[in-house]
Amino acid sequence: MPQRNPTLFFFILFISAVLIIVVSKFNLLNLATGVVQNVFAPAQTTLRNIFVKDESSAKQENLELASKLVEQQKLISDNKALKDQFQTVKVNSTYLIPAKIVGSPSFVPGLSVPEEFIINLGTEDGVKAGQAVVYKDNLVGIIKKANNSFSKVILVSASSFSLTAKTLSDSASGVARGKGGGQIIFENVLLSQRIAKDDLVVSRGSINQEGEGTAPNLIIGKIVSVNKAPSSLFQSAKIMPLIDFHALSTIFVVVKQ
Amino acid sequence: MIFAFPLILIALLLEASALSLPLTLVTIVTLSFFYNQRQVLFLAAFFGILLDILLLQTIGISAIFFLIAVFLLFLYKRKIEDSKQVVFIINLITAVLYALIIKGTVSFFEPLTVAIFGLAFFVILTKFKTLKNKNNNLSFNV
Repeated sequence: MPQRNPTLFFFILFISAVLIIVVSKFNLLNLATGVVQNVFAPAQTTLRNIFVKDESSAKQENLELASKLVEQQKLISDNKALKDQFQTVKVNSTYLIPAKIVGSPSFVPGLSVPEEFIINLGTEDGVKAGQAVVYKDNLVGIIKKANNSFSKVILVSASSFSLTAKTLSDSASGVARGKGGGQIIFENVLLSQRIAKDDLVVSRGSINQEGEGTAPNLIIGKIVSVNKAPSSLFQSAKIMPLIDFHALSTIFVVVKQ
Repeated sequence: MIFAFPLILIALLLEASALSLPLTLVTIVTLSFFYNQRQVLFLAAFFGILLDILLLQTIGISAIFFLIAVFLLFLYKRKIEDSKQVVFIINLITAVLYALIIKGTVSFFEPLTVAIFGLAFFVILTKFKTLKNKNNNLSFNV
């Protein structure tokens, strides 16, 4: 008999949890979740800052140089194409919203690389699923899910990430696919196209009618090795992101292109 | 409950901000060896929902997993002894299942680390409980 009460209690809680799942599917808990997230956000940010080190100056300089290289290459191609101004390098800064990273759930400092970020911007700030997240012309990831006050960003190196991309020097097209553990593979590149070590891989651009999506020429990473077999249809390359994801604390959401 | 609540809250904040380890689950499972079923079930549901909100997961999914884990643990608790090995194995199994069912991926490192954490937590709580019992006995004798 004494076992009955806890069992009943378990079933009450279990059914309540199921009801919460159903209710949350209809976005009826947005207000409550927003309040909870806002309450916990300062503590999350503080804790995250304890585990995250500041980005070194050398790394910063490297990012600046990569950014300048993209800009320079773009200027050359722009000159060649004269009035072809569709492919602009910079994302219009008026459409960038700074976001604080409040959590990186799939991350163990020193042992793994983050695959997701939770940022303090939500639908109330104009953030929607599918929008690009950048840091100094580098593509950080894509918004996967957004609620009222917070959003989940899936990083370029996450295993569920993929995006059409091209090399900066020869415009060799392919698909950049996250492999987890901070690695990205540039695959489905035709054998006839030239890809080489140290080439920068940038986004090809996938903006929809509403002006949302990924802008072209955002840096995904640098090629560290090329895998080319004459018998196969395609070649692939291993890309290393230029950003140290775990050192980031502020990133930018591109709300419109 | 006075000790349990802040302990799980710390684990939850760590899990939601900087660590991918299922610390909340392991803390709740380990506390099951020290608290009664109703208290632990309530904590499992409450912190499960909170974790889902902070991790932007489907709200209630972790709560259901925590509740089932705690319920099953209490169901078989009489048949198993509260030894360190048992605590380690139970934490390891629940962490693996949680990673597989909720997160969709499982690595060797994560469940093992949290199982060790759970074991250490169990040892500390056992020592604390023994010390508390000793003090209670002494005050009774006086």
